[in-house]
Amino acid sequence: MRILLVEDDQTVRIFIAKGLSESGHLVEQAENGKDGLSLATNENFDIIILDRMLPGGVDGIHILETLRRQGNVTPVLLLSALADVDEKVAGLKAGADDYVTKPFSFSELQARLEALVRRNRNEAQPQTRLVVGDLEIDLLSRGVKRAGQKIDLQPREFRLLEFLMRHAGQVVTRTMLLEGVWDYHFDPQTNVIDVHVSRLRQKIDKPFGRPLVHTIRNAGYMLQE
Amino acid sequence: MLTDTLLWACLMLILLAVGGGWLIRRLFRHVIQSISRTTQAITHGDMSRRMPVQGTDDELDEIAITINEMLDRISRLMEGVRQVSNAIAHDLRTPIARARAQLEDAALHATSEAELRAAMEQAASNLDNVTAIFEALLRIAQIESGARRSAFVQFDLVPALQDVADLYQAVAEEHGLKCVRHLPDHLPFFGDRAMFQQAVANLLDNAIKFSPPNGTVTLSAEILTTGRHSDGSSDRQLNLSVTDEGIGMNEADMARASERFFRAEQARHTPGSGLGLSLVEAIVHLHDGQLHLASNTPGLLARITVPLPDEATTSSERAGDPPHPF
Repeated sequence: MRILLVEDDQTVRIFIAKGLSESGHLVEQAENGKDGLSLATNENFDIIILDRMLPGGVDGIHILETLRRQGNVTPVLLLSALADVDEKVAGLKAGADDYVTKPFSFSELQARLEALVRRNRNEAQPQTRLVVGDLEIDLLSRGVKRAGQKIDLQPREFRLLEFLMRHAGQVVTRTMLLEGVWDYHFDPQTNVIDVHVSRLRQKIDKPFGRPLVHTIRNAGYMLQE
Repeated sequence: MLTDTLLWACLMLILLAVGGGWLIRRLFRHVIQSISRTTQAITHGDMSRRMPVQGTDDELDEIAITINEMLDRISRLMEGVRQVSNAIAHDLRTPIARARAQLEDAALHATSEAELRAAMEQAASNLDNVTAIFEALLRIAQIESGARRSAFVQFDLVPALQDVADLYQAVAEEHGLKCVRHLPDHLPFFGDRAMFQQAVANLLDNAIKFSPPNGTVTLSAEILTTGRHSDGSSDRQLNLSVTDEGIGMNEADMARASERFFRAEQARHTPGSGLGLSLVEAIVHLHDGQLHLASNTPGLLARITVPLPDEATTSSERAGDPPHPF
Protein backbone atom coordinates (compact mmCIF):
# COMPACT_ATOMS: atom_id res chain seq x y z
CA MET A 1 0.00 0.00 0.00
CA ARG A 2 1.06 3.57 -0.59
CA ILE A 3 0.51 5.51 2.62
CA LEU A 4 0.78 9.23 3.33
CA LEU A 5 1.76 10.06 6.89
CA VAL A 6 1.32 13.64 8.10
CA GLU A 7 2.67 14.01 11.63
CA ASP A 8 4.77 16.78 13.17
CA ASP A 9 6.21 14.85 16.14
CA GLN A 10 9.39 13.30 14.83
CA THR A 11 9.51 10.39 17.28
CA VAL A 12 5.97 9.33 16.53
CA ARG A 13 6.43 9.83 12.78
CA ILE A 14 9.57 7.73 12.58
CA PHE A 15 7.99 5.05 14.78
CA ILE A 16 4.95 4.73 12.51
CA ALA A 17 6.92 4.99 9.25
CA LYS A 18 9.39 2.32 10.35
CA GLY A 19 6.65 -0.08 11.39
CA LEU A 20 4.67 0.39 8.20
CA SER A 21 7.72 0.05 5.95
CA GLU A 22 8.63 -3.17 7.77
CA SER A 23 5.24 -4.61 6.94
CA GLY A 24 5.87 -3.85 3.29
CA HIS A 25 4.10 -0.52 2.75
CA LEU A 26 5.41 2.50 0.93
CA VAL A 27 5.32 5.49 3.29
CA GLU A 28 5.43 9.10 2.17
CA GLN A 29 6.07 11.50 5.08
CA ALA A 30 5.16 15.12 5.72
CA GLU A 31 5.93 17.01 8.92
CA ASN A 32 3.62 19.98 8.49
CA GLY A 33 0.13 20.68 7.24
CA LYS A 34 1.17 22.58 4.11
CA ASP A 35 3.38 19.80 2.74
CA GLY A 36 0.79 17.25 3.79
CA LEU A 37 -1.98 19.03 1.95
CA SER A 38 -0.02 19.44 -1.27
CA LEU A 39 1.06 15.78 -1.23
CA ALA A 40 -2.46 14.63 -0.47
CA THR A 41 -4.02 16.67 -3.27
CA ASN A 42 -1.37 16.04 -5.96
CA GLU A 43 -0.65 12.34 -5.51
CA ASN A 44 -2.60 9.14 -5.07
CA PHE A 45 -2.52 7.18 -1.84
CA ASP A 46 -4.31 4.08 -0.59
CA ILE A 47 -4.69 5.62 2.83
CA ILE A 48 -3.77 8.82 4.66
CA ILE A 49 -2.73 9.00 8.33
CA LEU A 50 -3.32 12.51 9.55
CA ASP A 51 -2.32 14.09 12.81
CA ARG A 52 -5.10 16.29 14.06
CA MET A 53 -2.98 19.15 15.36
CA LEU A 54 -0.22 20.35 13.08
CA PRO A 55 1.99 23.44 13.19
CA GLY A 56 1.91 26.15 10.53
CA GLY A 57 -1.76 27.06 10.33
CA VAL A 58 -2.95 24.05 8.31
CA ASP A 59 -4.23 21.45 10.76
CA GLY A 60 -5.45 17.91 10.14
CA ILE A 61 -9.14 18.78 10.03
CA HIS A 62 -8.43 21.51 7.47
CA ILE A 63 -6.57 19.08 5.20
CA LEU A 64 -9.35 16.54 5.60
CA GLU A 65 -12.10 19.02 4.77
CA THR A 66 -10.20 20.33 1.74
CA LEU A 67 -9.75 16.78 0.41
CA ARG A 68 -13.40 15.89 0.90
CA ARG A 69 -14.51 19.14 -0.77
CA GLN A 70 -12.44 18.21 -3.79
CA GLY A 71 -14.23 14.87 -3.96
CA ASN A 72 -11.17 12.92 -2.80
CA VAL A 73 -12.42 9.80 -0.99
CA THR A 74 -9.08 8.29 0.08
CA PRO A 75 -9.62 6.67 3.49
CA VAL A 76 -8.30 8.94 6.24
CA LEU A 77 -7.30 7.85 9.73
CA LEU A 78 -7.00 10.73 12.19
CA LEU A 79 -4.39 10.60 14.94
CA SER A 80 -4.98 12.83 17.89
CA ALA A 81 -4.12 13.55 21.48
CA LEU A 82 -7.68 14.86 21.93
CA ALA A 83 -9.43 11.82 23.36
CA ASP A 84 -12.77 13.47 23.95
CA VAL A 85 -15.89 11.81 22.55
CA ASP A 86 -16.95 15.14 21.07
CA GLU A 87 -13.57 15.59 19.40
CA LYS A 88 -13.91 12.14 17.90
CA VAL A 89 -17.36 13.00 16.58
CA ALA A 90 -16.04 16.26 15.10
CA GLY A 91 -13.24 14.36 13.34
CA LEU A 92 -15.60 11.76 11.90
CA LYS A 93 -18.04 14.47 10.82
CA ALA A 94 -15.25 16.24 8.94
CA GLY A 95 -14.91 13.08 6.85
CA ALA A 96 -12.43 10.88 8.70
CA ASP A 97 -12.94 7.12 8.41
CA ASP A 98 -11.39 6.26 11.75
CA TYR A 99 -9.89 7.98 14.76
CA VAL A 100 -7.00 6.76 16.91
CA THR A 101 -6.04 8.60 20.07
CA LYS A 102 -2.50 9.09 21.28
CA PRO A 103 -0.86 7.29 22.92
CA PHE A 104 -1.56 4.19 20.83
CA SER A 105 0.13 0.89 20.19
CA PHE A 106 1.44 0.20 16.74
CA SER A 107 -0.58 -3.00 16.49
CA GLU A 108 -3.78 -1.02 17.13
CA LEU A 109 -2.91 1.48 14.38
CA GLN A 110 -1.93 -1.22 11.92
CA ALA A 111 -5.03 -3.30 12.58
CA ARG A 112 -7.24 -0.27 12.03
CA LEU A 113 -5.44 0.73 8.82
CA GLU A 114 -5.92 -2.72 7.38
CA ALA A 115 -9.56 -2.80 8.39
CA LEU A 116 -10.11 0.55 6.66
CA VAL A 117 -8.52 -0.50 3.39
CA ARG A 118 -10.38 -3.80 3.48
CA ARG A 119 -13.68 -2.05 4.15
CA ASN A 120 -13.07 0.24 1.20
CA ARG A 121 -12.61 -2.77 -1.10
CA ASN A 122 -15.49 -4.79 0.32
CA GLU A 123 -18.10 -2.09 0.16
CA ALA A 124 -18.52 -2.71 -3.57
CA GLN A 125 -20.16 -6.13 -3.28
CA PRO A 126 -22.61 -6.92 -0.46
CA GLN A 127 -21.99 -10.39 0.88
CA THR A 128 -24.53 -12.94 2.11
CA ARG A 129 -22.09 -15.71 2.97
CA LEU A 130 -18.65 -15.67 4.56
CA VAL A 131 -16.26 -18.60 4.38
CA VAL A 132 -12.93 -19.20 6.10
CA GLY A 133 -11.52 -22.71 5.66
CA ASP A 134 -14.23 -25.20 6.62
CA LEU A 135 -16.15 -22.59 8.63
CA GLU A 136 -19.00 -20.79 6.92
CA ILE A 137 -21.70 -18.42 8.06
CA ASP A 138 -24.86 -17.36 6.29
CA LEU A 139 -25.61 -13.71 6.98
CA LEU A 140 -29.25 -14.02 5.94
CA SER A 141 -30.33 -17.14 7.82
CA ARG A 142 -27.75 -16.49 10.57
CA GLY A 143 -26.62 -20.10 10.28
CA VAL A 144 -23.13 -21.27 11.20
CA LYS A 145 -21.49 -24.47 9.98
CA ARG A 146 -18.07 -25.96 10.41
CA ALA A 147 -17.02 -29.06 8.46
CA GLY A 148 -20.68 -29.44 7.50
CA GLN A 149 -21.75 -29.53 11.15
CA LYS A 150 -24.30 -27.02 12.39
CA ILE A 151 -23.20 -24.81 15.31
CA ASP A 152 -25.64 -22.93 17.57
CA LEU A 153 -24.52 -19.44 18.52
CA GLN A 154 -26.13 -16.74 20.65
CA PRO A 155 -26.93 -13.55 18.67
CA ARG A 156 -23.97 -11.71 20.20
CA GLU A 157 -21.63 -14.63 19.53
CA PHE A 158 -22.80 -14.59 15.94
CA ARG A 159 -21.99 -10.89 15.62
CA LEU A 160 -18.56 -11.48 17.14
CA LEU A 161 -17.89 -14.30 14.69
CA GLU A 162 -19.21 -12.24 11.78
CA PHE A 163 -16.86 -9.38 12.72
CA LEU A 164 -13.88 -11.76 12.91
CA MET A 165 -14.84 -13.38 9.58
CA ARG A 166 -15.20 -10.02 7.86
CA HIS A 167 -11.67 -9.24 9.01
CA ALA A 168 -10.29 -12.72 8.35
CA GLY A 169 -6.53 -12.78 8.01
CA GLN A 170 -6.21 -9.44 9.82
CA VAL A 171 -5.43 -8.62 13.39
CA VAL A 172 -8.52 -7.39 15.22
CA THR A 173 -7.82 -5.54 18.47
CA ARG A 174 -9.95 -5.72 21.61
CA THR A 175 -10.96 -2.09 21.16
CA MET A 176 -12.10 -2.78 17.61
CA LEU A 177 -14.25 -5.68 18.84
CA LEU A 178 -15.71 -3.61 21.64
CA GLU A 179 -16.65 -0.85 19.21
CA GLY A 180 -17.67 -3.04 16.31
CA VAL A 181 -19.59 -5.79 18.09
CA TRP A 182 -20.87 -4.11 21.26
CA ASP A 183 -20.87 -0.49 20.11
CA TYR A 184 -18.97 0.41 23.29
CA HIS A 185 -16.61 3.33 23.30
CA PHE A 186 -14.95 3.13 26.66
CA ASP A 187 -12.26 1.05 28.22
CA PRO A 188 -13.90 -1.69 30.31
CA GLN A 189 -10.69 -2.23 32.37
CA THR A 190 -11.40 -5.95 32.63
CA ASN A 191 -10.81 -8.72 30.15
CA VAL A 192 -14.44 -8.84 29.00
CA ILE A 193 -13.49 -9.36 25.37
CA ASP A 194 -11.16 -12.27 26.17
CA VAL A 195 -13.98 -14.02 27.98
CA HIS A 196 -16.34 -13.68 25.02
CA VAL A 197 -13.71 -14.82 22.53
CA SER A 198 -12.86 -17.82 24.70
CA ARG A 199 -16.55 -18.80 24.75
CA LEU A 200 -16.73 -18.52 20.98
CA ARG A 201 -13.67 -20.74 20.72
CA GLN A 202 -15.36 -23.38 22.85
CA LYS A 203 -18.05 -23.63 20.18
CA ILE A 204 -16.29 -23.15 16.86
CA ASP A 205 -12.76 -24.40 17.55
CA LYS A 206 -12.64 -26.89 20.38
CA PRO A 207 -14.79 -29.70 18.89
CA PHE A 208 -12.87 -29.53 15.62
CA GLY A 209 -9.28 -29.82 16.79
CA ARG A 210 -7.78 -27.29 14.41
CA PRO A 211 -8.16 -23.72 15.75
CA LEU A 212 -9.26 -20.86 13.50
CA VAL A 213 -9.25 -18.09 16.10
CA HIS A 214 -5.69 -17.17 17.01
CA THR A 215 -4.47 -14.92 19.79
CA ILE A 216 -1.95 -12.37 18.59
CA ARG A 217 0.29 -11.38 21.47
CA ASN A 218 0.06 -7.74 22.56
CA ALA A 219 -2.41 -7.02 19.77
CA GLY A 220 -5.65 -8.98 19.70
CA TYR A 221 -7.12 -11.81 17.69
CA MET A 222 -7.07 -13.09 14.16
CA LEU A 223 -9.36 -15.53 12.41
CA GLN A 224 -7.33 -17.50 9.92
CA GLU A 225 -7.09 -20.92 8.42
CA MET B 1 -35.55 85.27 70.53
CA LEU B 2 -36.79 83.28 67.58
CA THR B 3 -33.56 83.87 65.69
CA ASP B 4 -31.63 82.77 68.76
CA THR B 5 -33.55 79.53 68.96
CA LEU B 6 -33.17 78.97 65.24
CA LEU B 7 -29.47 79.62 65.47
CA TRP B 8 -29.11 77.13 68.33
CA ALA B 9 -31.18 74.57 66.47
CA CYS B 10 -28.99 75.00 63.42
CA LEU B 11 -25.86 74.63 65.49
CA MET B 12 -27.14 71.49 67.19
CA LEU B 13 -28.17 70.06 63.82
CA ILE B 14 -24.74 70.67 62.37
CA LEU B 15 -23.08 69.17 65.44
CA LEU B 16 -25.30 66.11 65.32
CA ALA B 17 -24.78 65.69 61.56
CA VAL B 18 -21.03 65.98 61.84
CA GLY B 19 -20.92 63.80 64.94
CA GLY B 20 -23.21 61.18 63.40
CA GLY B 21 -21.29 61.22 60.16
CA TRP B 22 -18.06 60.79 62.05
CA LEU B 23 -19.52 57.93 64.06
CA ILE B 24 -20.85 56.13 61.00
CA ARG B 25 -17.55 56.69 59.22
CA ARG B 26 -15.74 55.17 62.16
CA LEU B 27 -18.10 52.21 62.14
CA PHE B 28 -17.58 51.56 58.42
CA ARG B 29 -13.89 52.08 58.80
CA HIS B 30 -13.86 49.53 61.54
CA VAL B 31 -15.69 47.00 59.37
CA ILE B 32 -13.54 47.68 56.35
CA GLN B 33 -10.36 47.52 58.39
CA SER B 34 -11.49 44.23 59.86
CA ILE B 35 -12.25 42.84 56.38
CA SER B 36 -8.95 44.22 55.13
CA ARG B 37 -6.99 42.65 58.00
CA THR B 38 -8.62 39.28 57.45
CA THR B 39 -8.18 39.27 53.67
CA GLN B 40 -4.60 40.43 54.03
CA ALA B 41 -3.86 37.59 56.41
CA ILE B 42 -5.45 35.17 53.95
CA THR B 43 -3.51 36.66 51.04
CA HIS B 44 -0.38 35.95 53.01
CA GLY B 45 -1.39 32.33 53.27
CA ASP B 46 -3.21 32.08 56.58
CA MET B 47 -6.42 30.37 55.39
CA SER B 48 -7.55 29.76 58.96
CA ARG B 49 -8.27 33.49 59.63
CA ARG B 50 -11.93 34.50 59.93
CA MET B 51 -13.84 37.77 60.44
CA PRO B 52 -14.59 38.49 64.13
CA VAL B 53 -18.31 38.08 64.93
CA GLN B 54 -19.59 40.27 67.82
CA GLY B 55 -22.74 38.26 68.45
CA THR B 56 -24.92 41.40 68.30
CA ASP B 57 -26.93 40.04 65.38
CA ASP B 58 -26.73 43.28 63.39
CA GLU B 59 -25.79 44.01 59.76
CA LEU B 60 -22.10 44.01 60.58
CA ASP B 61 -22.29 40.51 61.97
CA GLU B 62 -24.26 39.48 58.93
CA ILE B 63 -21.47 40.65 56.64
CA ALA B 64 -18.88 38.93 58.81
CA ILE B 65 -20.82 35.67 58.80
CA THR B 66 -21.33 35.79 55.01
CA ILE B 67 -17.65 36.42 54.42
CA ASN B 68 -16.72 33.62 56.82
CA GLU B 69 -19.03 31.19 55.05
CA MET B 70 -17.44 32.13 51.74
CA LEU B 71 -14.01 31.56 53.23
CA ASP B 72 -15.08 28.19 54.63
CA ARG B 73 -16.26 27.11 51.20
CA ILE B 74 -13.06 28.28 49.53
CA SER B 75 -11.07 26.35 52.14
CA ARG B 76 -13.07 23.20 51.48
CA LEU B 77 -12.61 23.53 47.72
CA MET B 78 -8.91 24.16 48.14
CA GLU B 79 -8.64 21.13 50.38
CA GLY B 80 -10.42 19.10 47.69
CA VAL B 81 -8.06 20.31 44.98
CA ARG B 82 -5.10 19.59 47.23
CA GLN B 83 -6.31 16.06 47.93
CA VAL B 84 -6.95 15.35 44.26
CA SER B 85 -3.60 16.68 43.14
CA ASN B 86 -1.85 14.69 45.88
CA ALA B 87 -3.75 11.64 44.75
CA ILE B 88 -2.92 12.30 41.11
CA ALA B 89 0.72 12.80 41.98
CA HIS B 90 0.75 9.58 43.97
CA ASP B 91 -1.37 7.39 41.73
CA LEU B 92 0.41 8.43 38.58
CA ARG B 93 3.81 8.26 40.20
CA THR B 94 3.33 4.60 41.12
CA PRO B 95 2.93 3.19 37.58
CA ILE B 96 5.51 5.65 36.22
CA ALA B 97 7.98 4.59 38.92
CA ARG B 98 7.31 0.96 38.11
CA ALA B 99 7.88 1.51 34.39
CA ARG B 100 11.05 3.43 35.12
CA ALA B 101 12.39 0.74 37.43
CA GLN B 102 11.66 -1.99 34.92
CA LEU B 103 13.42 -0.13 32.12
CA GLU B 104 16.42 0.78 34.22
CA ASP B 105 16.71 -2.69 35.66
CA ALA B 106 16.56 -4.21 32.18
CA ALA B 107 19.11 -1.74 30.83
CA LEU B 108 21.52 -2.66 33.64
CA HIS B 109 20.90 -6.35 34.21
CA ALA B 110 19.18 -7.97 31.25
CA THR B 111 21.34 -10.67 29.76
CA SER B 112 19.20 -11.68 26.80
CA GLU B 113 17.04 -10.01 24.22
CA ALA B 114 14.00 -11.88 25.51
CA GLU B 115 14.49 -10.40 28.96
CA LEU B 116 14.86 -6.91 27.51
CA ARG B 117 11.71 -7.28 25.49
CA ALA B 118 9.70 -8.58 28.42
CA ALA B 119 10.79 -5.61 30.57
CA MET B 120 9.88 -3.16 27.83
CA GLU B 121 6.45 -4.68 27.34
CA GLN B 122 5.83 -4.48 31.07
CA ALA B 123 6.90 -0.85 31.06
CA ALA B 124 4.61 -0.05 28.12
CA SER B 125 1.67 -1.64 29.90
CA ASN B 126 2.40 0.43 33.01
CA LEU B 127 2.40 3.56 30.87
CA ASP B 128 -0.94 2.50 29.38
CA ASN B 129 -2.18 2.41 32.94
CA VAL B 130 -1.10 6.04 33.39
CA THR B 131 -3.02 7.00 30.25
CA ALA B 132 -6.12 5.19 31.50
CA ILE B 133 -6.01 7.10 34.81
CA PHE B 134 -5.60 10.40 32.95
CA GLU B 135 -8.52 9.61 30.69
CA ALA B 136 -10.78 8.69 33.59
CA LEU B 137 -9.86 11.91 35.44
CA LEU B 138 -10.48 14.08 32.38
CA ARG B 139 -13.74 12.32 31.76
CA ILE B 140 -14.94 12.91 35.32
CA ALA B 141 -13.97 16.59 35.09
CA GLN B 142 -15.76 16.94 31.78
CA ILE B 143 -18.90 15.25 33.06
CA GLU B 144 -18.90 17.39 36.21
CA SER B 145 -18.73 20.53 34.08
CA GLY B 146 -22.06 19.44 32.58
CA ALA B 147 -20.86 19.82 29.00
CA ARG B 148 -22.09 16.33 28.08
CA ARG B 149 -25.71 17.26 28.58
CA SER B 150 -25.90 18.37 24.96
CA ALA B 151 -25.69 14.69 23.97
CA PHE B 152 -28.89 13.79 25.88
CA VAL B 153 -31.52 11.93 23.88
CA GLN B 154 -34.72 10.05 24.58
CA PHE B 155 -34.08 6.30 24.55
CA ASP B 156 -35.29 3.00 25.97
CA LEU B 157 -33.07 2.10 28.91
CA VAL B 158 -33.87 -1.62 28.85
CA PRO B 159 -31.98 -2.68 25.69
CA ALA B 160 -29.09 -0.45 26.79
CA LEU B 161 -28.98 -2.26 30.14
CA GLN B 162 -29.36 -5.68 28.47
CA ASP B 163 -26.32 -4.89 26.31
CA VAL B 164 -24.14 -4.08 29.33
CA ALA B 165 -25.46 -7.09 31.21
CA ASP B 166 -24.72 -9.34 28.20
CA LEU B 167 -21.17 -8.04 28.10
CA TYR B 168 -20.55 -8.68 31.81
CA GLN B 169 -22.62 -11.84 32.25
CA ALA B 170 -19.97 -13.88 30.45
CA VAL B 171 -17.33 -12.50 32.84
CA ALA B 172 -19.52 -13.21 35.85
CA GLU B 173 -20.09 -16.81 34.75
CA GLU B 174 -16.36 -17.18 34.22
CA HIS B 175 -15.93 -16.26 37.91
CA GLY B 176 -18.55 -18.86 38.85
CA LEU B 177 -21.17 -16.23 39.66
CA LYS B 178 -24.87 -16.24 38.97
CA CYS B 179 -26.30 -13.24 37.15
CA VAL B 180 -29.90 -12.22 37.71
CA ARG B 181 -31.72 -9.43 35.91
CA HIS B 182 -35.01 -7.88 36.96
CA LEU B 183 -35.86 -5.56 34.10
CA PRO B 184 -39.23 -4.41 32.75
CA ASP B 185 -40.02 -4.51 29.02
CA HIS B 186 -39.48 -0.81 28.47
CA LEU B 187 -38.07 2.11 30.40
CA PRO B 188 -38.29 5.39 28.51
CA PHE B 189 -35.41 7.55 29.66
CA PHE B 190 -33.82 10.86 28.74
CA GLY B 191 -30.05 11.01 29.01
CA ASP B 192 -26.70 10.01 27.57
CA ARG B 193 -26.91 6.36 26.56
CA ALA B 194 -23.20 5.58 26.40
CA MET B 195 -22.52 7.38 29.69
CA PHE B 196 -25.32 5.62 31.51
CA GLN B 197 -24.11 2.29 30.19
CA GLN B 198 -20.66 3.07 31.46
CA ALA B 199 -22.02 3.85 34.92
CA VAL B 200 -23.85 0.50 35.05
CA ALA B 201 -20.81 -1.28 33.59
CA ASN B 202 -18.64 0.11 36.40
CA LEU B 203 -21.12 -1.06 39.04
CA LEU B 204 -21.31 -4.55 37.49
CA ASP B 205 -17.54 -4.67 37.20
CA ASN B 206 -17.18 -3.87 40.91
CA ALA B 207 -19.88 -6.37 41.87
CA ILE B 208 -18.11 -9.13 39.94
CA LYS B 209 -14.68 -8.15 41.25
CA PHE B 210 -15.68 -8.31 44.90
CA SER B 211 -17.94 -11.37 44.78
CA PRO B 212 -16.97 -14.74 46.19
CA PRO B 213 -17.48 -17.78 43.90
CA ASN B 214 -21.10 -18.99 43.71
CA GLY B 215 -22.40 -15.54 44.65
CA THR B 216 -25.22 -13.82 42.84
CA VAL B 217 -24.99 -10.46 41.09
CA THR B 218 -28.34 -8.80 40.51
CA LEU B 219 -29.18 -5.97 38.16
CA SER B 220 -32.63 -4.52 38.53
CA ALA B 221 -34.43 -1.45 37.30
CA GLU B 222 -37.94 -0.15 37.84
CA ILE B 223 -39.93 3.05 37.87
CA LEU B 224 -41.32 4.03 41.25
CA THR B 225 -44.11 6.51 41.86
CA THR B 226 -43.00 8.51 44.86
CA GLY B 227 -45.84 10.97 45.26
CA ARG B 228 -49.09 12.00 43.67
CA HIS B 229 -50.21 15.58 43.10
CA SER B 230 -53.78 16.86 43.28
CA ASP B 231 -53.80 17.60 39.53
CA GLY B 232 -53.32 13.92 38.70
CA SER B 233 -49.63 14.14 37.83
CA SER B 234 -47.13 12.19 39.92
CA ASP B 235 -43.47 12.21 40.90
CA ARG B 236 -41.75 9.26 39.36
CA GLN B 237 -38.21 8.06 39.69
CA LEU B 238 -35.98 5.48 38.10
CA ASN B 239 -34.62 3.00 40.60
CA LEU B 240 -31.68 1.04 39.29
CA SER B 241 -29.67 -1.21 41.52
CA VAL B 242 -26.75 -3.58 41.35
CA THR B 243 -26.25 -5.92 44.28
CA ASP B 244 -23.62 -8.49 45.08
CA GLU B 245 -22.91 -10.92 47.91
CA GLY B 246 -19.28 -10.00 48.23
CA ILE B 247 -17.11 -8.40 50.86
CA GLY B 248 -19.22 -5.23 51.04
CA MET B 249 -18.05 -2.01 52.68
CA ASN B 250 -18.23 -0.50 56.13
CA GLU B 251 -20.14 2.73 56.78
CA ALA B 252 -17.04 4.93 56.77
CA ASP B 253 -15.81 3.51 53.47
CA MET B 254 -19.25 3.89 51.88
CA ALA B 255 -19.23 7.58 52.71
CA ARG B 256 -15.89 8.03 50.98
CA ALA B 257 -16.33 5.48 48.19
CA SER B 258 -17.03 7.97 45.43
CA GLU B 259 -14.05 10.19 46.27
CA ARG B 260 -11.46 10.18 43.55
CA PHE B 261 -8.77 7.55 44.09
CA PHE B 262 -10.38 6.28 47.30
CA ARG B 263 -9.93 2.56 47.80
CA ALA B 264 -11.19 0.66 50.80
CA GLU B 265 -8.60 -1.26 52.81
CA GLN B 266 -9.86 -4.70 51.65
CA ALA B 267 -9.91 -3.55 48.03
CA ARG B 268 -6.27 -2.56 47.80
CA HIS B 269 -5.05 -5.88 46.51
CA THR B 270 -7.63 -6.04 43.69
CA PRO B 271 -6.88 -4.33 40.38
CA GLY B 272 -8.43 -0.90 39.92
CA SER B 273 -7.71 2.79 40.12
CA GLY B 274 -10.22 4.02 42.68
CA LEU B 275 -11.94 6.12 40.03
CA GLY B 276 -14.79 3.79 39.06
CA LEU B 277 -17.36 5.00 41.57
CA SER B 278 -16.27 8.65 41.14
CA LEU B 279 -17.15 8.29 37.49
CA VAL B 280 -20.46 6.60 38.32
CA GLU B 281 -21.37 9.41 40.69
CA ALA B 282 -20.42 12.11 38.17
CA ILE B 283 -22.57 10.43 35.50
CA VAL B 284 -25.52 10.03 37.87
CA HIS B 285 -25.27 13.68 38.97
CA LEU B 286 -25.19 14.72 35.31
CA HIS B 287 -28.61 13.04 35.04
CA ASP B 288 -29.78 14.90 38.19
CA GLY B 289 -29.80 11.60 40.07
CA GLN B 290 -28.20 10.21 43.21
CA LEU B 291 -25.92 7.28 43.92
CA HIS B 292 -26.54 5.45 47.20
CA LEU B 293 -24.50 2.65 48.69
CA ALA B 294 -25.89 0.31 51.33
CA SER B 295 -25.16 -3.05 52.90
CA ASN B 296 -26.76 -6.06 51.27
CA THR B 297 -25.76 -8.39 54.16
CA PRO B 298 -23.64 -9.85 52.85
CA GLY B 299 -22.36 -7.67 50.06
CA LEU B 300 -23.06 -4.29 48.65
CA LEU B 301 -26.15 -2.65 47.23
CA ALA B 302 -25.45 0.20 44.83
CA ARG B 303 -28.56 2.12 43.87
CA ILE B 304 -28.97 4.85 41.30
CA THR B 305 -32.10 6.98 41.54
CA VAL B 306 -33.02 9.48 38.85
CA PRO B 307 -36.15 11.63 39.02
CA LEU B 308 -38.23 11.32 35.86
CA PRO B 309 -40.55 13.87 34.30
CA ASP B 310 -44.19 12.76 34.78
CA GLU B 311 -45.68 10.67 32.06
CA ALA B 312 -47.80 13.37 30.41
CA THR B 313 -44.79 15.57 29.63
CA THR B 314 -42.62 12.62 28.62
CA SER B 315 -45.03 11.43 25.98
CA SER B 316 -45.67 14.91 24.59
CA GLU B 317 -41.91 15.54 24.44
CA ARG B 318 -41.41 12.24 22.74
CA ALA B 319 -44.02 12.97 20.10
CA GLY B 320 -41.99 16.02 19.06
CA ASP B 321 -38.62 14.28 19.10
CA PRO B 322 -37.25 12.55 16.03
CA PRO B 323 -36.89 8.80 16.60
CA HIS B 324 -33.47 7.89 17.88
CA PRO B 325 -31.66 5.36 15.70
CA PHE B 326 -30.62 2.05 17.17
